[in-house]
Amino acid sequence: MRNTITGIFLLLLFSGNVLAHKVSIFAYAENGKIFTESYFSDGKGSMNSVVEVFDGKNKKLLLTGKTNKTGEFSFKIPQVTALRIVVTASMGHKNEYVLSEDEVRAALGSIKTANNFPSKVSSKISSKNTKREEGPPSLKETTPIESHELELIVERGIQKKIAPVMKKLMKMEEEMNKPNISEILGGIGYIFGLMGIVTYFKYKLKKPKE
Amino acid sequence: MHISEGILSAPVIITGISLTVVGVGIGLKKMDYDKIPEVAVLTSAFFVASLIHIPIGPSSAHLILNGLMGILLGFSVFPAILVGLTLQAILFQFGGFTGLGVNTFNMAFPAVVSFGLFRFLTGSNHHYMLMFSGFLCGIVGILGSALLVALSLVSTGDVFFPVAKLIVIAHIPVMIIEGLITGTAVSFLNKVKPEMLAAGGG
Repeated sequence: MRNTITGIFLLLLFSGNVLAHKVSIFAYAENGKIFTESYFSDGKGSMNSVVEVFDGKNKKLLLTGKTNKTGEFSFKIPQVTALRIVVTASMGHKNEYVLSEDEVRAALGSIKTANNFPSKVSSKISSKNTKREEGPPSLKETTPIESHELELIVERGIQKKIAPVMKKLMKMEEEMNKPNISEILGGIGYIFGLMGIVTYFKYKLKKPKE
Repeated sequence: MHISEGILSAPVIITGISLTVVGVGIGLKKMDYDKIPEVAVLTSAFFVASLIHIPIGPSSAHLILNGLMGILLGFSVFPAILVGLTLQAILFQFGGFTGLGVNTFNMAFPAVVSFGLFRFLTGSNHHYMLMFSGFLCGIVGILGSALLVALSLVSTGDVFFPVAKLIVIAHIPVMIIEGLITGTAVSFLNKVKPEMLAAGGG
């Protein structure tokens, strides 16, 4: 009997299929939109789950939506405040993610610069080219990069560089939500510790009878 | 089966807590000295079983083993599941603390029902009958929990029938697997340690 229980136990422990039953949500803002991903902790996206977006401060409901088959849902930034994004999956699973005001603002900022400045940049570049054909440019004309353009260029570069990092972060967040081996062993330790306590009390009560 | 934080309304939470307190009280009182290690081992099994995912079906479902626990522990399944769920809430963030009472009752009550059902069915003590009863109790444990979860969710504005249908369908693979596990475990125990089944928990 004891061996079987130990056997079942080890099998359960090392089945490699160490996954959890919980829904998680992760959100990020980019180019004026907010992207959310909801998933069960086995990594499976939670499809058709209701996503509600609340104002972070006064808890006003701003919009609701449903996730697609892979658990994703995206929407335009409704307002520049912190946003509390709540996902409710079926069968009583619920979780939330808070997007800070800074993140929302940054995503809105990049779309503004992206929309307003490209035309200027291209016209500047073309004008630069025509000037170059005309003759040797003066020092003043070769460095006409305005701070706006510079900002845009830097931002684009950063976004390109940071994309894989963000992906990795999301993966890590997902990993962190999974129970790890020390938590599992810790939990079992607690159970046996409690067993010891219960045994102690029951034993003391029983001893005088014998 | 773990209902998350912030879903249930106060009356449901309070009802769940009171029912669980009663169950745990009876369970602790009935738990014999010799029974304690068994309770602890099954609690550990329950604690870890929730990590075993069954990737079939529309949602994400995992083993619970409450049918088997019920057969072996009787009312002592209440403290066992309460401890298991508390640790799952702390360490894995499954379910929430406010819902602990409701979640415990939802999983432990069908286990007690399995206990009664198993005793009722196995009067003859025939080996195949035992196996079949184990299989049935494994199913009853999950089915009962699924229905109780649906009932708990009614208070949040869900309509009982569609929710119950959804949860039961999602758990059909789990039911079958748990039925097989429970049936096998029972027939094995009957061979090597029949007194565990006969004594039937406290």
